Amino acid sequence: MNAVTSLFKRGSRAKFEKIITPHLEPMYRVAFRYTKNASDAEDLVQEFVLSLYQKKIDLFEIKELRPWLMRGLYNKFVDNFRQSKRDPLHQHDELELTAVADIRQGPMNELSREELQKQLLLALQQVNEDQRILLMLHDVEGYTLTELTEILDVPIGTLKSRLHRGRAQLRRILNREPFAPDLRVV
Amino acid sequence: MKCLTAQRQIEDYLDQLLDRATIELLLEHFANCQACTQLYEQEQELRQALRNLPFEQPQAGFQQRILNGLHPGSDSSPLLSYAAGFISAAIIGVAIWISVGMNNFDSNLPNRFAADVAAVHFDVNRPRQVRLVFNVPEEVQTASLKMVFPTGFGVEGLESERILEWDTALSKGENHLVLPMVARQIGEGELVATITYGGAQKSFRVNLKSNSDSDMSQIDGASLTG
Repeated sequence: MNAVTSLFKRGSRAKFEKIITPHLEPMYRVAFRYTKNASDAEDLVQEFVLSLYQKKIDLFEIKELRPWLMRGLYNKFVDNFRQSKRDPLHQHDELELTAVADIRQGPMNELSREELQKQLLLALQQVNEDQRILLMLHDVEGYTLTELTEILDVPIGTLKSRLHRGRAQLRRILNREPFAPDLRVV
Repeated sequence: MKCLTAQRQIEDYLDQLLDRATIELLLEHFANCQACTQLYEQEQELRQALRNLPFEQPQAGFQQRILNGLHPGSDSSPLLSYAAGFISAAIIGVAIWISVGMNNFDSNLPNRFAADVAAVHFDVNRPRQVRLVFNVPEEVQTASLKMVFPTGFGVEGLESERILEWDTALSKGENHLVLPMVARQIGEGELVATITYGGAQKSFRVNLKSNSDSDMSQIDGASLTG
């Protein structure tokens, strides 16, 4: 490798680092929601960023970089799980279902914040993975449906119905479908 | 609006997907229906609880680890990794050490080469490896480096570029940047290396000299003045 090539390569890497760095923590945040733990989230971001770098993708050429990155990150997440034969879109985690059932009684405002968070986290583990991802991105992280059509590559109508089903499933798990039985109007 | 209709609209209302007329009907229903109002408040609580779900911050050094990971097999700083690409020619090297404090560059960190050491000598058209060692007391996520070369000197293959600059991260301790420099004419001048981060900036000046028939047994050093 001669000096000229090296310098251009160095400049290219510097450029890559400069443009990717502001997106690292937002990507980590979303990755954490996907993977549910910090270590796997960092690994996911690392793998994704490295794959972009190795493919020599010119990020300056991408107009809407943040959603483009988030879409790639999501695809990487799905690919990883498919490769490990654990398809996240159809995975039903039975873990701690009993625990959810045990703490589901009572209005939410009567629960302590810690109890409420635990209840929700356990409940979210029971929601279908594609719905959980959508709930995490929309209701937890605040991405709009328009943004999510780009990130998840799913039509907005499908997202709406998926979101509705996900919330309904969440409420059922929390024994709140449709809301508390004593309040239900049929 | 009937209760069943109102309940079906609650999600869309919270998602801000309803038109104004529907919102007015819904709010009017809430004003007259305690049960639906309570359902609405419960759904609000659920949304609020979701927004407040715990989040675990990445461990310290997250960004640096990601960027370092672009060069598998190396735990070194990006600068050091950049340098690896330059070690291609059998050229005699010289090291320039630069220590930088974090607090407006006024720390008492040792300068490995204090003032009044000899200049870096070159034979015209004979490249040599100049290693800049940036010594920082703690990790820096983003630092800007700028190199301004004197007339007649430059990086081999890019001698026409009087100024080179780029952003990089700096690891705690020594960060090596190796430049294959060359002189294309007899003369001397100053190489000015400027490092900027955290709103502070400091420049270091290195004397460069070139001769047509240099004595390469001479021990080179660098003059650093902040």
